Amino acid sequence: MTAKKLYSFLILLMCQVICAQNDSIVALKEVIVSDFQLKNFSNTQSVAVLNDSIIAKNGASLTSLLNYNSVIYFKENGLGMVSSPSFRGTTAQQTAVIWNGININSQLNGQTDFNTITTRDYNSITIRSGGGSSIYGSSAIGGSIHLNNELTFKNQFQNELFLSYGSFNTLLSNCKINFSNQKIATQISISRNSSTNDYEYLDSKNKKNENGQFNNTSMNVSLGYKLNSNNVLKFYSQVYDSERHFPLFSSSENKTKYKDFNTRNLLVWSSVIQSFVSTIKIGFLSEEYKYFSNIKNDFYSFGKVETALAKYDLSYQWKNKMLLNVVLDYTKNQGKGTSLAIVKREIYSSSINFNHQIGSHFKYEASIRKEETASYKSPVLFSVGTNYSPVSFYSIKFNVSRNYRIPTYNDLYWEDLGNPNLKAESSFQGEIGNVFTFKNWSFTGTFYKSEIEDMIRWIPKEGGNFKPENTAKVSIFGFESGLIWVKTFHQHQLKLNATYGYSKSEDKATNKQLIYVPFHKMTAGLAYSYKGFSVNYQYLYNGKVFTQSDNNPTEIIDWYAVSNMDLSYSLGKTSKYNFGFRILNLWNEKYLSVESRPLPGRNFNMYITFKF
Amino acid sequence: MKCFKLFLVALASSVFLVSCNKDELPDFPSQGNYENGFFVVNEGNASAGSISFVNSNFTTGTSNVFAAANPSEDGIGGYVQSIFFNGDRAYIISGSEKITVVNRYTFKYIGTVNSGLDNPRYGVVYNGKAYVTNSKTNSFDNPATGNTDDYITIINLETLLVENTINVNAIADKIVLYNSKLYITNGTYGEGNSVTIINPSTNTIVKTLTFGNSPNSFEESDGKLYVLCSNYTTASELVKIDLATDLIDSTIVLPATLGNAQNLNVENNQFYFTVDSKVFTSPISETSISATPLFTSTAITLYGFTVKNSTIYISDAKDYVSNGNVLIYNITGSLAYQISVGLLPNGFYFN
Repeated sequence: MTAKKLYSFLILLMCQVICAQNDSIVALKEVIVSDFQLKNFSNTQSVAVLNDSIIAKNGASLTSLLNYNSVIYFKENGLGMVSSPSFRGTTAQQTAVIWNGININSQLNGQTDFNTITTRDYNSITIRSGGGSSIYGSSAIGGSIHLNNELTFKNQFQNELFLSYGSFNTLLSNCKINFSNQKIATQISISRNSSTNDYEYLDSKNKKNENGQFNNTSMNVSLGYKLNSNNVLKFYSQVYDSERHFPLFSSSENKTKYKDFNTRNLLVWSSVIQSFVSTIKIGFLSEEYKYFSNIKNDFYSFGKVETALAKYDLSYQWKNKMLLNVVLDYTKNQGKGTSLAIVKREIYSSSINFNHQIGSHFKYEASIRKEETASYKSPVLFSVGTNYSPVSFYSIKFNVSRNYRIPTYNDLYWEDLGNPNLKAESSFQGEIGNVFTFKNWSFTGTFYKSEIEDMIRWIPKEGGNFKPENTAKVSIFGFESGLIWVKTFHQHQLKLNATYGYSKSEDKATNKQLIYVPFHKMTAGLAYSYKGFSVNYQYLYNGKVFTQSDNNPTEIIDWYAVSNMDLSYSLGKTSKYNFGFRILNLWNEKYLSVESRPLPGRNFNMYITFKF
Repeated sequence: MKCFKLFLVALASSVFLVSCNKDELPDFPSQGNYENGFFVVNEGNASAGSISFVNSNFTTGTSNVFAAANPSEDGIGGYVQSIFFNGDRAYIISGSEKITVVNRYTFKYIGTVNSGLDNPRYGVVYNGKAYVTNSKTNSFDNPATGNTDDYITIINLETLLVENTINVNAIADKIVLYNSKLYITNGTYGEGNSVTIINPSTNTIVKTLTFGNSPNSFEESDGKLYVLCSNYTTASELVKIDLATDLIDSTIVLPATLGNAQNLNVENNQFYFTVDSKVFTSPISETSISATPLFTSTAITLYGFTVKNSTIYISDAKDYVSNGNVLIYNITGSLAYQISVGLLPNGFYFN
């Protein structure tokens, strides 16, 4: 605690030094980003933004969006079922999902189920590769995924209705309402997706995806209110409710189902005082799952965690050249569940972020963060990076960071089995990125290396019990790249977007590749448009993965390559009506991403988007 | 997947070739490839488990014998629990709520029981009917009746249809038949503390014997039923039941260091049981148990344990996500053979 006090004192001291000089004045802008650090402290790493037009051309879930547009690998237990990522060769708990600047990974299991995020509820989704724990906290080791609701203060009243219907009785719908003027900005998005999801398996004798039906509903509200020219209040709120039945492996099995209910609320007050921006955030999140091991019974096991958080964020900008940002954070969780007693946990953290532009070619960034909690031990986190652009078409980026993944509620508090003495998993990692930008194309290529230690694993013990321990070490080396090429002639536009990733992710004790981490993954998208007409072709190649830690060559999920095609036509000057037809798994590839969980063959849907 | 099939064919043919070489021996009619040796149940995962076969000289093994013998049939299900035999048939119980019936020597598919089961555990046969324990719900997701809703499914072995059920009103796990009575352990994961005795002629509970700890394994020997009881907190107990009277004869409390003792076997008038990866033994005539192990096995996760004749069979589930091993020890505890099997090997069944 004394160290923490000293540290807080240092922060205050630094603030005072900086107070002495205030030159430029920051003003509230028309578009207000929800994630200040993402915009300002991500210049030395690889960042890719998927905007609303890309979101609209992809499936409803975050899994399908990222699967076809990034190097992130997904382990999906059947279409729409539990889906976990592996980003840069890391585990599912080492990718952070950030909702309007707030980390929303589950407190219970440390990960986000990417099939419980509906992408149309956001204006943009950003993929930030590599370490980010010094800014975003736990799990930002492989990288972080940012779900953003940007508020626009201009006079508009625009609404959009999207409806899609297709194979397996799949209905996707979304309604957006945007109302704003110079003072108020309002965004409402409501989504409802459902599917019988009873697709036939391509590999065997009239077998269907039995008991695979799902539905989910989400309601989102983002509000902004300018109190005056220097003060703005923002409020973000989300409710997500879903029910998924889990498909049967064999029709003799008991049928099961799983329910999620998540709420997220965040109130933000930002004040601009000359060169300072002071922001207070208060948030309340809740997550709850219920698992019914037999749908004929009413019995279920459950877990629930409520999180209250408060953040104070102060930034100071000097002549558009330097930016200093201090964040103090307090988080309190309260969880309970089947096999979890009621447990409270408090975490304090403080961090400093800094960037500095020297001349027009060189920029560097640094962050440091330390946490204090009685619940587990965690290291000092940092990130240091540079961005050097010797010529206009090329820049080179370096970044080194220490990141962590904190023990979850299950790891710490599971009845009789949880281990209260766990440390956070921690990584030391570095990357070198090259960015080429020309008139029609751009290319990024990044080499990365990570050493992760104190990996928390549930180790089998006598009597069939598992207990978590800080045991394994993992060494990761890899490469990821992205290519964008655009060609316009007359009214024709052609756009190619491709990614390729390689990751070798080995357990240091055995020198074996981690299970469910592919060596190779590749995606490609080719879009052609002419006037209102457009064609999109998507391609995904996923290399083989091992399903056993001994890398037994017979126990693998084989590689697969899947393509989708989308045809659409827009009517009206502002594309008031858009009609489309989509063929998924065009070549009817027989594939799966988890053993015995086949994914569907060729299937279809059609959609309409109506703007009014 | 093609590679996997090739691999199976190669394994299957190696067994076939071995049996071809035996042609020069006196000509006994062979009942099948799997006549001499033992099966290992590999629990596997939720979608698929497998059965491995090891021949009686421990030199050749066949993985996934069901798939090898029945390439066009559906699998035996996931989380494979146990096997019981009747005549020339083997009944494979899986967590997919089904029982697959095969010929125990050829492993050719005969039929499936796929109704009336709810987390089936173990089975025995009496009078042409199978009695299979079902653990139904667990106390962690159903605190009210999770420990009292277990039952026995009675299956007609001619039709493979469920004839009847018997509510055990307690946990139902392991089951043995002795003297035309069924003995069922009412214990799992340290919960439950009794054995239920059922008369299969009337399908009624005759008696319930209550202990001071939770039964996890038992074996009959010379008219006595020996029951090993343990949990995670208190001292383990060995209970001796006189099967002539169905009364508790005596109880031995094990040394405190032998908590959570498992896998009781009675062989050659000796007890054998395990604590973690350590193996303990003691003459059945003793009234106290030594805390000194006979030996410590090399298993990372000792998961299955059987003593038969003068051989100790141990299965090692390792980290639960790697293929396991079978370790064969002689009766003094020296390792004789090590054989690679499938995912999560949990038990041994002898032909």
